[in-house]
Amino acid sequence: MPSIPLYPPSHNQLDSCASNPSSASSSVSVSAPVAAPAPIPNPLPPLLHTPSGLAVIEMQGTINMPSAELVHDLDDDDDDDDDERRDGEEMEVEMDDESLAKGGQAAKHNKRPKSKAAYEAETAIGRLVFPYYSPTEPTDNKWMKRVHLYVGRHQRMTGEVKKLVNPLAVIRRRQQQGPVGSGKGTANEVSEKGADVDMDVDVDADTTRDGTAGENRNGSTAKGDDEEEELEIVDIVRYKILFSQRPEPVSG
Amino acid sequence: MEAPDHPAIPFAFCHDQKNFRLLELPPDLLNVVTSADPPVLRIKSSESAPAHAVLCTDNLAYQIRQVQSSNSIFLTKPAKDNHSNDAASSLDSHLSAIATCKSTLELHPVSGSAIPHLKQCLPLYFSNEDGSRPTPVEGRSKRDVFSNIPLADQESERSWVELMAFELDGVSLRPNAEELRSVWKAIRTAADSQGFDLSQQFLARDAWKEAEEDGCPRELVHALLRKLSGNGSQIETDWMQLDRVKFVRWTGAMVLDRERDRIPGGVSITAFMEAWKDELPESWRAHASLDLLKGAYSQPTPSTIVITDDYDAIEAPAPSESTNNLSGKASLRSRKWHEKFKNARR
Repeated sequence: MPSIPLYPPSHNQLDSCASNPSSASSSVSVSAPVAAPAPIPNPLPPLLHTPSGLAVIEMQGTINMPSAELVHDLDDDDDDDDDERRDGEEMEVEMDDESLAKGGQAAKHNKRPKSKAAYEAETAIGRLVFPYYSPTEPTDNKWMKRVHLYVGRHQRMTGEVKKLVNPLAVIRRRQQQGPVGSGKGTANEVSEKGADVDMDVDVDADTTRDGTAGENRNGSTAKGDDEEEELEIVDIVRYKILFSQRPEPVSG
Repeated sequence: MEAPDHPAIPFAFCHDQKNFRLLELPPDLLNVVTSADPPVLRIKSSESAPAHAVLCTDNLAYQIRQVQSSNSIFLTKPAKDNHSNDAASSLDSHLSAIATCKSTLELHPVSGSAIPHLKQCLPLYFSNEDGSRPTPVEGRSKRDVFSNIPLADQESERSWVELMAFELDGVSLRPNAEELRSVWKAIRTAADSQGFDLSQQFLARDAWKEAEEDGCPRELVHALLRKLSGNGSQIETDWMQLDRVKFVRWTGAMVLDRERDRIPGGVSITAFMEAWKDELPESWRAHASLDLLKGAYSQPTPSTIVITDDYDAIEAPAPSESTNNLSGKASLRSRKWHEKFKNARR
């Protein structure tokens, strides 16, 4: 087996892969130099920020999500009056408590985005609150001792922010660097450009949905894909939000 | 519910889940990855079973282990709120879980010698009885060989030098004992005829000229001199100085190996010591001592001596030792893992 390269973090190509529903709808020009889109403000306390915005939330238990297929099925016969149907969609939060799920559903109903794209992309789980966090005293780290995740109106999970003994490298398969022929491991500018071009092709493929764009893209990059797998470290996460306890009921 | 002055951050699950893996970075590796000019790491695995994946830098190697978790580990990213009519949130972004990891990858330091790997995959270079030296048509470059050794390249390089492996027309080879003896003979002859002293500085090219006339590749002479000098670079052009301890030890092992071919049952220690000293430059004769060969020989009787089979791997730490350490650490760790969750349940 040949060895697989794992590239160190470059911090120049953050958004090209991570899910970002809004960028999928915005068009990116190939020829013009692409101005980086304004970064999405990170709602977390600054200690939890990473260059790519990635963070780790760990919880004991599983959240059962409606399968992506279900969402797509609903979407296929989408019309104006399917709001009812969406409300009937079940989100189960498997935390030994069924009412949690109902609460989550209620929360979703309140906050449910009207835009179709946003609805497709996400299902609301709950809200994170750092009760001791004060933006005016960011150096005081006592706030790390408590984090709440409210699910619906009646359920709350309590957790904390933990510094990881061994920081976690977030790794993924490396993206193709632009057209075949551009050398591997060139300067960061080149790879950034390549990522942008790729993203644009992706957008095309998504919007046409007839498969041709996707095929073309596969054809043009097949060489690289077949030759060897490449991985990269996207970012290094040093803290995690850990919910290690069961949810508890709270009164609205 | 929450106090109003602590804004709630909406947390959502993104259905377009991405593939990410989480890899724990031990401090040494973290320093490498976060350094100013971080190198590209490589994930290697051995060709023979069991094929563990090993993450390597130039000088560090870690076995990768996948650790399943019963917890849900979400990787989140800020996402823009698409809905304009959400008055409940003062922020215009929320957190979106873009990936769910059911396991993390742990790294456990691996140490050990690459000698067994190299011995397994490098074809032997030898002379036929008629003096011809067949070169395998199919072979692998040094780089290719190293990329299949699940150890840090520096470790592989060390073992490469130790085994006096060399590349000939892009094919990696290692010499057999007879071939080394004939190279050595050629170097000695050169020293005698040209009047240079192997215990002093000499020019490498004076040494390999003679060997080349015998049909021995220059690369092999360099491999031998590199091992005996202890510094690898610039053998071709520079004055070089052999490392006394390495040199004396190697000649001892070589002579003992030669004697075994002659008398397989073991040679008398006195005779061996004489033969050994005869191979050494005059000023180094006194340094021949059995202590240098510790571990590389056995004594069938108190007065005889015979070389062990794998004497060329003696200098490197025994691989079995490192494996034991590894599993010992792992069991300690898994015990802690259970304790951790026991505590969490209370």
